[in-house]
Amino acid sequence: MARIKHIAIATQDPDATAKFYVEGLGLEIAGKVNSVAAEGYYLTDGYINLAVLKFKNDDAANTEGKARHTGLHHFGFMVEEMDQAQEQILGAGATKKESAITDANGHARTGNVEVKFTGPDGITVDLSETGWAGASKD
Amino acid sequence: MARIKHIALATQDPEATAKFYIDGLGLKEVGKLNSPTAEGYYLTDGYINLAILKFKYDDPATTEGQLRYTGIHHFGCKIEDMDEARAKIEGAGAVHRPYPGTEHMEARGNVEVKFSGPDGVTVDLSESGWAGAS
Repeated sequence: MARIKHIAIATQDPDATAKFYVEGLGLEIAGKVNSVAAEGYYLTDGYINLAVLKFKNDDAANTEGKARHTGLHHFGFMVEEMDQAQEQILGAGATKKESAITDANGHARTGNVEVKFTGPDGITVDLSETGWAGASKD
Repeated sequence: MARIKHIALATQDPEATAKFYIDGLGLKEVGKLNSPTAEGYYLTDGYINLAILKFKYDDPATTEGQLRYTGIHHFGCKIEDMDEARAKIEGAGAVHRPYPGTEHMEARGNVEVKFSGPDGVTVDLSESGWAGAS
């Protein structure tokens, strides 16, 4: 079964936002992000990755039909087999989301190869075989 | 450490949205929800509770400073001790958010206390956890 392993929060002040989740909830910093799409932090509670992202452009910030540069943004599932998972989610009505954030090389470098989909109400759902920084593999 | 155990999605069509996450991602339905604030479904991947909520009015639908009746809405953490967790999150700058229907939460097994964090993001804390979450 797919496992929810990623939540992304958009913010204009990734340092302050990361500090809040580290100090207020005890999350740990698993890495810094600086990709074509966003900069910020990967945090974790040991199981799930919480990404705190300052998006670099409207394309990357786009979700639910418009650019969202602050606030809860999207979430993601770790899957065992991408082809099968992709077929299943598309079969349930998702559409594949093409955006600058789908930077396969960049993602391969950071160890997070994700494929983005749009589900009901425009919600962005990531699928990844590799998972996200700091999240456990179970 | 707090553990993220809950993600809530707002929708106007909980049946269709729940069906999408069941058919498309293999989540399982662990309960139906019909509270004073929302109706919908609790789903799980065996670890996290994914709540699919049709909010019944503006107060519970509010997050990040505005109404959000559709879209990714908030998330929550299971914590060991509410007094300690509350002091910690408030010390980090969160603002407690009074929430309607708190008195009904015990009956459904999810006693949550809500906070607004940076950018108004709503973060729930719960000692009891959420349906279907490990």
